[in-house]
Amino acid sequence: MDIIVIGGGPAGLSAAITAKDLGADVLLVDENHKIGGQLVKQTHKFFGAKQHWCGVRGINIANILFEQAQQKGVNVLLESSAVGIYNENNIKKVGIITSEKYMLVETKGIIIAAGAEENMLNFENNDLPGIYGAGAVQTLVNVYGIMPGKKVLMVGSGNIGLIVSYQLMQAGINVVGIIEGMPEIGGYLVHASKIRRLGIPVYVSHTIKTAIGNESVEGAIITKIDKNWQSIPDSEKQIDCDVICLAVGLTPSTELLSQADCEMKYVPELGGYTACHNELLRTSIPGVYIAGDISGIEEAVTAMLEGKIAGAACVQETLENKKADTILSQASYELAEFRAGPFGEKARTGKNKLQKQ
Amino acid sequence: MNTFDCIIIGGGILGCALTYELGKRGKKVLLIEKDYPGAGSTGRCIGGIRQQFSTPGSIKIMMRSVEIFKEMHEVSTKDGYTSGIDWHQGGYLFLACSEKEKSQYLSIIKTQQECGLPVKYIEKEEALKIVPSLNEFDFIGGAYCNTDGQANPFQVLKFYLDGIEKNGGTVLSNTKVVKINTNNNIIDSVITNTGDKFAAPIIINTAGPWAKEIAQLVGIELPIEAERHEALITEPTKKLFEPMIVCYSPSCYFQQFNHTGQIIGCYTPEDPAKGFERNSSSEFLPEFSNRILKLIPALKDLKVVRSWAGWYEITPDGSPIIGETEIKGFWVVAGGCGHGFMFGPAIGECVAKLICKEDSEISLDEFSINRKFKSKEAMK
Repeated sequence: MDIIVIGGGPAGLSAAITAKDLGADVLLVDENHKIGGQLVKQTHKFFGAKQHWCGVRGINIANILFEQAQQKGVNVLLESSAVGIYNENNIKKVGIITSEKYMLVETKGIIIAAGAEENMLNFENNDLPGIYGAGAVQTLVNVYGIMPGKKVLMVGSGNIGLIVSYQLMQAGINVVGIIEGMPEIGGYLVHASKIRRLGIPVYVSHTIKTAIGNESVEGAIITKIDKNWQSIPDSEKQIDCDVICLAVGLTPSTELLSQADCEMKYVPELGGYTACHNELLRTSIPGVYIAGDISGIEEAVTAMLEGKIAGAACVQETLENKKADTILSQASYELAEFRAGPFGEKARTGKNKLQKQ
Repeated sequence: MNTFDCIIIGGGILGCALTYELGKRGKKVLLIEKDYPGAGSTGRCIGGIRQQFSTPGSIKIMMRSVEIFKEMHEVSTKDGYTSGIDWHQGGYLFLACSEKEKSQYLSIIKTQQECGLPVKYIEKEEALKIVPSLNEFDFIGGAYCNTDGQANPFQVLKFYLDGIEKNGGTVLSNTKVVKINTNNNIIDSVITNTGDKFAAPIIINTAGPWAKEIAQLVGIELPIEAERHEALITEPTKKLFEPMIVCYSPSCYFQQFNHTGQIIGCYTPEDPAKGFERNSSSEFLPEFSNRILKLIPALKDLKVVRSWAGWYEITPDGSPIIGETEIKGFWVVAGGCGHGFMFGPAIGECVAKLICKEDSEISLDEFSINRKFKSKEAMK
């Protein structure tokens, strides 16, 4: 192979399509049975600029990108895990476990777009059945049509917490409240407004103290907190619910990056450890690139733009392809523009910290 | 303030055990570790503990180590500790795959039994009784000792570090010794990368794979080389075997952790990478899987959760190097050759006794720094 892309979410799909467009032989590996990463559960329409899929539902973006990839001739391996990246005598190999066998595939370039995992929160009884990550709830409801429960307490008011709350209400599941540790709602106003119109109470400066229940969740005790995140005495309140949904952020899934011996750095703004990378998404190892949430937690549009950049830059470096320049400058411009607003501040700060290296 | 009775360089099992044992004997001790304790070979080893070696020195050291691990387990499961050291005596089974291997084991077993070790040669039928999950492939029997065992290297280090603290010892992590001062061939002091100077009449090099580098600071050449060895660990599974199983044809050794049910194992490659290479090779994961599946087919669907590499500190004859060097007060206690973790507790105790001029039943002469490196440890 010329290029192996690990992870078939928005970043990986974009990277694979871009690399293929530039003439590379591309293999895309994803461990799920359905391609698209987080897009497959995003039943909501994107908004913003037209070139950034405004008005299209996430699940449809996944389908369109997958169709493009297939038409262009990207090789796709589903239900297959990339478990190791090896760099021996200047030959790169990726170890892949498919449903049938283990194989080592030689390649010139590697783009790792393995995404992120959900954060857990520490509180009493946090291992009771009925406590879910927001991504799991979204998968159950939007992909499989299964109700996790009837009364959901959402923890976290970032975009994921707000969107999942809205989607649960659409599915006929009652969201009894959203709690938020910060003094104000974290997500976009457009999502927060929908929540308000539905009358869901939002408790800012609150956190969860205890999950109540024997066999499964029967309720939760929440408490008001001060600026130092200490609970304020006598502010406890009991919420009646059978699901506690945690939407408290994501951490890059960096196991493969560490295994490959990429230089790593802890950057709180990006969600934790990630590989040091330059503005072309190249890690400390020549020919090894990253894109999407694994390079710092953001969202689908930036993931797709990063995928484009990583795909083009990886082809440019490993196949010495000159045609990549236009794609690189266009995508880099769009990415900078997209991150220019207040919501891009964390990403800007985080990425700057990495590039100083 | 910066003067100690002993300074130990290197916070692996040997350095930690020695610091603890010296502190227990009233010495004011400083342990200097360039990373964090266990960051080198100790934290990368698979935790096997056996007494089946081929020379009386090694066998006796290991018989003492097993006693210490037992004591450690008893103390550490009492008050003040939460998890013990995960000590478990499941035994070690060395498989004989040919008449030649069988006769080698038989001659070594004679030496081992003379040292008082409860070891015996068992036929294939008995081996299959002890390990029912073992494949009936073409092995003919094996050397088996049921008092060999396993422990958790991290918990053992924690035991020692807690003890060092209790005895008033000092541990400096993330500190590197960059210079060692001598005076008329007598040891004087060390200088660290932080610019600090610490003096002691006894300075001990327990730097494991880096022991050669440390000795070079005083112009001594040690025949100790780092060599990469790889290991992996699986998800937990039901109990499949009690002993560590060792096979030489081809090399493969593994055990099941009694406390978690995980399988952990390694093999010695034909031509191990020399030096401080720490990446996994592309060969190890598939090759180890093939080798272990030939022995225990029931592991077929088990998932590997992690693989990594560590370093053996290889000496020419496969035994450690222990003793005072030509520079008075400068000691070497290194060269574990892949057995450092299991040797650590007894070597720590013996060397501490030697330094404190106490009587010891175990002689360390076999490991002398001045020996001729002629024979080779047969049970590598």
